[in-house]
Amino acid sequence: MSRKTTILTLIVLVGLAGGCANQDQTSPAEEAWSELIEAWNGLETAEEKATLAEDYLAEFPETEHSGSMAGAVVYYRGHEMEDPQGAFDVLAPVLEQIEDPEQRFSVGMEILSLADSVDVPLNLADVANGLGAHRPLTYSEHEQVFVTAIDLEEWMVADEHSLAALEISTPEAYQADYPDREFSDEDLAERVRRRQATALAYDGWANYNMGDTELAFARFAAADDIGSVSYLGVPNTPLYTFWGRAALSEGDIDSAIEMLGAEAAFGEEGSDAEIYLREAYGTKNGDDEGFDEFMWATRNELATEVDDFALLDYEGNEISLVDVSTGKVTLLAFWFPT
Amino acid sequence: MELPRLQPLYEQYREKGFEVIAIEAKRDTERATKFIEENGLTYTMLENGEESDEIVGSIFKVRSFPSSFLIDRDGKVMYFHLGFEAGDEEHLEEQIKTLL
Repeated sequence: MSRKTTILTLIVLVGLAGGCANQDQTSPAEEAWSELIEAWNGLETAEEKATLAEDYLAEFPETEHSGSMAGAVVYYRGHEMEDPQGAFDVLAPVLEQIEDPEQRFSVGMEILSLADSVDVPLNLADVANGLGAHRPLTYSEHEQVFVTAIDLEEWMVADEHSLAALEISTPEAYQADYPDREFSDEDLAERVRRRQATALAYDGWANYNMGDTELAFARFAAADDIGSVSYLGVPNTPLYTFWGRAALSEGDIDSAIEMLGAEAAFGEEGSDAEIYLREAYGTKNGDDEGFDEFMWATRNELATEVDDFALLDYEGNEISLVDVSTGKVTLLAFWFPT
Repeated sequence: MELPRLQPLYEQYREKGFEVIAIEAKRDTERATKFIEENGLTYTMLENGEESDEIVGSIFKVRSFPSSFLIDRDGKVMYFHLGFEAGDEEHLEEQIKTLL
């Protein structure tokens, strides 16, 4: 599971927790859930959190919280405690007891994220089709499936679901996914572009691995044209990692270095871009001597000059970036209290 | 939340020319000020603006939290971080030392 997915899973978990804490306590499962939420914030270790989630699943395997609790087991026992087999052994019997297609899907997808580490007798296509037979999948569900499919190298499943995701990457569908939120037209358009570019990038990589190089590069170019890029100028998707790797395999070393270099310098941390950049650099130069200097030069060359801004502090003073940061090394951090 | 992990780095490197600016994106003033006080955070804390003064999404295109940019002495953004987990301080400290 990528680092980003892990973080998002946690945000979802905390979000669910916050949203559900004040509901009426109408059933034993909801009552136990409220107690769990109360206890959760006092827990410190991964083992305590994993155990609490496991106890809840053992007693109430099939509730609307099954997916988030399974996610907690995967995260805390599987990743933090580095015991993916233990997490799988807990979750597999839980899945057996769940009949509702929605909950089977969410728990099944969590279990599949352990597949790199344990021998998982679960079929991704079955998990997705189980929910798909019940109702059409949302964009986020398709995305969960195609990201997992790429991890598991199930290229045809990835192709099918990335195309289905692309088809429903519209402003209307996005708004329908977040009925309670208001987006400006500009913000909504950017969120939709990001979905389209993501689906195209993954579909390109699936097709590349299925041997359709021409279609793959057409998909990459289409994703690039959509132009969903971060403040630092790199795509908000794994496009440059996929495209760069494909270019490297095709022997187009200069293109590979250009794309992987930008991604390695300013993309999401924990991507594989630097690994393949090193390989491309080695191919071009005979060995990887001087790679660190090259990486530093690339970073300097591509770096964005930060925009100045002014905001209020909590005493009501207007503070601009240059007031604080001129001549300094500055960490500009974005946060919100949870 | 991860902001308290920045406090020791700020205290350690401030004299050498390191600053931290944290921007609270959602204008949740009450919880933000409580959090800042409870955790004894002394670096620059700002609140995102409203509408045309909103900058987190419109200028910096940040949609995932927490995330951060590390800016060098010349105002160039040299490193990007998404998330801030236990152990990331060491990585960040290396980058700060490289830029100082």
